[in-house]
Amino acid sequence: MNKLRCRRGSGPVNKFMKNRLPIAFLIILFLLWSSVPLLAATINVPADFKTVQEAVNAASANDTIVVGEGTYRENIVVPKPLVIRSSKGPAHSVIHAFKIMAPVITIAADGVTVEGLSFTGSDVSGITLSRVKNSSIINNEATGNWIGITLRRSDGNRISDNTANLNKSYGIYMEYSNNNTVERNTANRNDDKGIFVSYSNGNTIKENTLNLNAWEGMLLWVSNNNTITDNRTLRNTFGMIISESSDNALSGNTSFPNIFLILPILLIYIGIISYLVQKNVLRFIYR
Amino acid sequence: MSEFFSLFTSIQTVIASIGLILATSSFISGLQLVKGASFIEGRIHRINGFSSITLYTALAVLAFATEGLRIWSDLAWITGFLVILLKISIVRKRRRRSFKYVSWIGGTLLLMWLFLVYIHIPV
Repeated sequence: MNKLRCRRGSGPVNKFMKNRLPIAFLIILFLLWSSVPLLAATINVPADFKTVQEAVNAASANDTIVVGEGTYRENIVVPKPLVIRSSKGPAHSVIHAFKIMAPVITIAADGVTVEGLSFTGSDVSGITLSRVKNSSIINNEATGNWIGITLRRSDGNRISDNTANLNKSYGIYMEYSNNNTVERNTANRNDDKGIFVSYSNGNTIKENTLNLNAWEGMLLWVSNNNTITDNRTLRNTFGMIISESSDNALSGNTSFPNIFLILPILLIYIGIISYLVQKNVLRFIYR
Repeated sequence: MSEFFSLFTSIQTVIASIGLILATSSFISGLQLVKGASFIEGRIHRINGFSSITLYTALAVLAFATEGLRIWSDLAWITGFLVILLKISIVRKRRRRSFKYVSWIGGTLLLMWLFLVYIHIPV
């Protein structure tokens, strides 16, 4: 008889389950709700915060800050791992230096991603990575600064698909920075060098476009064991200079493509043919 | 091949290329004229020469329009114009002492066009 009662759910264990289960369920729900901030949140600028720095200050580690269209006058310091990206690309979200004697954005934490923004107007640097590891700078524009992108004592970072044109000295500057990947960037028409690698070892520098810079397309200075492949350094005063450096692997870099030679020769040939044709035509007319 | 044809998507490259072709024709006919060739050579020299000067002016105007006033660039364009004017004045005045160097100035103009093509290849 007892066994039958137990089966019907009137035993002491089943009573406990009946009374406490809804409470336990509520506790689990509360815990889940309270743990939401621990997961990555998305903060929108200017919807949630008017400036990017306010959003950075309010964000927790690993949050994503989406910067909307507009020009923001500020100097940003990122002291925690965040993802900062634009909603519509670098042409639409521009960060202009408020203080010109400071970098537009300073990355001061490991594991930061900055993507699709435009940084301009600094007499120091557009983007600065200082003592940082494993950060990514992707598809940004750093133009009209003293230096476009600066890496100082920063290791293992990825700098890719950025544009660092028309800066007053260097497009990309690396100092005491090792094992970084610098790929598919454009550093054209800078007033000094496209890429300057100084006292930096073990970096991979590939598929960059470094044209029309006032001095060197790329300068390696006291930098060893770097891999430099498939870069284009056209119409600089000096294409690529490697000095006081050793054990760098170079392949597939171009400073004077064949077309620079083929096109003028072809045009001179056409000029000669054009002269002969004109001569015969005029001879035919004035005979 | 498509890379080659993509060079000519820039109007400046097209103008500079036509300019070099005309300058080459003008230079060859000019050399024939110095040797004392016929009236036909004179026609070719003049037509091609003045056409290339027109294209040079167009390139200079486009450079000012796209890049604005830049001191070294402007000085280079002005120097080019001065070389052209010097060449025309020597040919017009026909002074014996200067005329014997006219082919060298023609050569300078050809080199100038080679440089113009080089700097206008899109990169």
